[in-house]
Amino acid sequence: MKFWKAFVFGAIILSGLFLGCTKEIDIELEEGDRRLVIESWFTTEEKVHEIRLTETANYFSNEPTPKASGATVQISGGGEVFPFSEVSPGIYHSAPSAKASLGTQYTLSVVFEGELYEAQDYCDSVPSLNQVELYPSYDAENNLSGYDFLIWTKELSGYGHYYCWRIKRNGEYLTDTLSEITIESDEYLGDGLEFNAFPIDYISINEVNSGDTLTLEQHNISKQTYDAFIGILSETEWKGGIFDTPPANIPSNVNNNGLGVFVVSAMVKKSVIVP
Amino acid sequence: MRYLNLLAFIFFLSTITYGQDSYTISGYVKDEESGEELIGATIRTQVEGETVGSVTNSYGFYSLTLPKGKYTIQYSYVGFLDTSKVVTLEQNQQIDMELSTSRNLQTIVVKGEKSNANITNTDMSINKLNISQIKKMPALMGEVDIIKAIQLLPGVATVGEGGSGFYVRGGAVDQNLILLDDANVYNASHLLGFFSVFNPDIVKEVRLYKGGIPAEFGGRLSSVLDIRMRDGNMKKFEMAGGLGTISSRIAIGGPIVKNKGAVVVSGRRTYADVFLKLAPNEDLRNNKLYFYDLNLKANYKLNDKNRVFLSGYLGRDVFGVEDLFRIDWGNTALAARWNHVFSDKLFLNTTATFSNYDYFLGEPEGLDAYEWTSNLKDYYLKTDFSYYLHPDHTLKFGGLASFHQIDPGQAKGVGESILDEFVVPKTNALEYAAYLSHKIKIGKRFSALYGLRFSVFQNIGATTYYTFDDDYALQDTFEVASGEIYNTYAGLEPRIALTYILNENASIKGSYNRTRQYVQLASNSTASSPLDIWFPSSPNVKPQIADQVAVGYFQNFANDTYNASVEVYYKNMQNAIDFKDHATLVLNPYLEGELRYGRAFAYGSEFLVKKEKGHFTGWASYTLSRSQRKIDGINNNELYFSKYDKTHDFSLVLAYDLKNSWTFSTNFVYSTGAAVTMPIGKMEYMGMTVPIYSERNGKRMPDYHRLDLAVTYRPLKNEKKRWKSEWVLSVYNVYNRANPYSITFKADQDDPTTTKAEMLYLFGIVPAITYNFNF
Repeated sequence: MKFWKAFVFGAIILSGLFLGCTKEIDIELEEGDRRLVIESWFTTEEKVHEIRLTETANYFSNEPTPKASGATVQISGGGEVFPFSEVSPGIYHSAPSAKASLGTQYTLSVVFEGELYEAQDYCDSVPSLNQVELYPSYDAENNLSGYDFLIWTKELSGYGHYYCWRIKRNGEYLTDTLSEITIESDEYLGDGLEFNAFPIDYISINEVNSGDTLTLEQHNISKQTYDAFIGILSETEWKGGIFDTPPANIPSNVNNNGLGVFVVSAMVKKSVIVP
Repeated sequence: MRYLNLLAFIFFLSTITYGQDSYTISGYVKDEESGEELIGATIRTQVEGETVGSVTNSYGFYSLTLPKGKYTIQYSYVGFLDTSKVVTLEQNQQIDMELSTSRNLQTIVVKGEKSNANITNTDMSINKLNISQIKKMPALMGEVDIIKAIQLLPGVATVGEGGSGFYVRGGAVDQNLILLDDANVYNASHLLGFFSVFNPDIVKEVRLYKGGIPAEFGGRLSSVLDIRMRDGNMKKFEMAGGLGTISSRIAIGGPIVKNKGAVVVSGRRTYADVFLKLAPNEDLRNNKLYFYDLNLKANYKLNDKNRVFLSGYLGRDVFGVEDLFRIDWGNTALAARWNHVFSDKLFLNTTATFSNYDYFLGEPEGLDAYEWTSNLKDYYLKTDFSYYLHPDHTLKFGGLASFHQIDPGQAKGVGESILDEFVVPKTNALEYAAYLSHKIKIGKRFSALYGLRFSVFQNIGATTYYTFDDDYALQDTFEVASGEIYNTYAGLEPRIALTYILNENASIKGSYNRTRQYVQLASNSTASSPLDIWFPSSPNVKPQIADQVAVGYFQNFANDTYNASVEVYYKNMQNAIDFKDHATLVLNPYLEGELRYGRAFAYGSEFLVKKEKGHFTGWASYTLSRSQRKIDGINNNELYFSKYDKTHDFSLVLAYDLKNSWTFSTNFVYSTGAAVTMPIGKMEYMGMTVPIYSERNGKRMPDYHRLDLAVTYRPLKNEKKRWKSEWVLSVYNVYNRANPYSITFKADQDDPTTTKAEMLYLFGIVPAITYNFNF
């Protein structure tokens, strides 16, 4: 990802140098069928896991997509079954003891309006997070602008590993938006790479207060998750320059014409206090 | 065996002569002022009441064999005065003819014969542009651009504003063979494609073959863009140049030995970075942003039979952000040629070329500092014979051998970087071809140019290659030793063009050609990215094959003042390539796993009315066409439009010379909007609003239209001085139309449930002023 990001960065600067302007335009679009969208992230952490079920909507509906309420939801794998119950429309919670085990294949089953939707993902191992540190960063006027989140870890040996990092502030995800999650693949980083004080993420001073506990989660995600995440970013965050590639639908591991991604990840974490 | 047959055939043809004593007139046709050879000048005379003739080749050479007798030979070339010479032919003769432009000649004008070569020759689907014609056209930012000029021809489409990519008769951007003095140019764009690499000051002639491609050209499916550089002034020292809004250029040249050899050197550089220094934003001031071109051409006549040429091009784009980031890329093209006249009838040209395209990308500092490079090298050796047997029979034959070396990319960490080395295996390939073509005239009305090309392509080690299973997943890895040939493709490419002359003002022409292509570009975006790499055919990637048929009607009006033509074509392309959804095309060793294959086809009709003579010149062209593809694994395996499909495409190019001091010109372009994919719904996922698409390229952007104007003023006091100058004021997009480059569907940053369609447009009204001089 690293080289690719550099390229995207360069391309954006290059195209910005031209007199490119943007303008909002009115376009009439056709409307497709309603389809179920699954958002589920099941990790090795023992906690109440959440699943959000929604449906697709007209692109210019300009309101949140409809919640898929009244579904029967469960995750099963390794001889265990974790049922989910609806706590508010479209939001389904597991019991607090639910967690994934390493080396296990999991299946998510959703029965919604008489249709069965299934998705599968595999829980691989994750390298340990040896150390984390906040490294202050200063702007041109020498004022503290934020912190680099430095990590010490060693990438798993062999190619074909995909990782992401998420940050929690006082137990809540600092951002729950995909675009703010750091995603990497060892294809470009190199196999078995050692991270020593590597700046994996950056936190602006506006997002945290002194004394906050910041927790960095390191996840190993599957290739299908990585591809889906890159697909989503390609169609949203990374869109709009002169190097745009042809629009395409996001790959999904949900069958029966469902959409979204069922993610299973092995996760380790470490916390630091904001000075 | 094949070779023997060929020789027998040539021998058979060589027995065709007049049934009486006949002699050959041969020589060169030149521009009187500079001594430069003229390409495509016509030489004609009457034999027993019938017009016979010849045309100068790319080196200005002609040969005409006639029965013993007395003839009035007429030499003509567009923009020059017709000149006649009376010849008593009793032995072979060499006649070098110099033509002059009307501006310089005050003597009696010979009343020309009909200039209807466009009706009588076998050329169809071919457009020729003179550099003086291109220079008159209004240009974006005042930068005269050859590629932008050919985009205004019928059958040539563009995608997006101002790009230097062009799409010929439904062919992709990498299906154009771009030759600069016979050397391949792999990436013809500067600054992401807004400008092309050809410096107009050194270009002599531009010829675009869209169909009826002669057998001597091969390697690309859809077109040949044959660009010839000037040879340099044989008679006197000269200097030409210009100061423009974004760049300046200068060309200096003159005779090495008068009338024996000449050299010309030219350079061009942009100075956007000079303006960056004035930027209010300090961060911008230390950035680098420029491109430059250097061209060199030298030629020397060793004697009447031998002449050598050397052409060189070097161009580079550089962009840097302080010490944080740098990217640069460029082409090198070198060609050495040797012309040899074996006899009055047999002309040989041997060319050796070298082309290189490479890029560099890097961040010099920090934990993720890296350097990333890629390059493509090409070596060609080709030899082409022209055998002017008889005015009714011309043979061309020859062959080529080439070696391609592709380094698709390697990246490595530098300095304190933690990044590893990352290498995509290099690949090498050999390509050979041999061809024979025969131009024949049968009776007064019928002529044909038919030929056959045989091409061979081989992948050669050392390399690593991969095989993929039916799901395009990696299956096996193979290591190949240096020099080992591990894959071969070969095939025949028949070519034929026919002309039937209805009368001296009208003809019907037809052509068929098959072309094969063994290298292609991994590019998925509309703009030309410097990081686009070329990749060869391989055990996984079959050669692309195109078959095209075209039929046309050609008619001249008002004593050949107006040339009009209508052509229809159908083109079918096998093994067409597209890329899977969200494909990774850069730094990907498994690139071939990202490819999807199928079939592409295009059909259309092209209308052209052109006026080349007089004060008022220009053309109007209209193309009605369709270009579609069906690729396994894309768009649910359903047929979809190519992004460059344009139902209607209209261009009007006009120039008016008012006395000698003013030229007014205008371009107007109108075309159907590009085919794009639009959403049919949205989904929400982790805070992102993601569009859901249905059919690929099933929708259209708003129509594209634009008007450009230019005025050139040449002070009259110039007339008698050697130093001549002109001012060019050009205005691009006069009525400031916001033509969409792309349409993006995006969610509001603060409230992702609100969505909008946003169009990107690159150029509003762009005025520019340029000062040109020559000495």
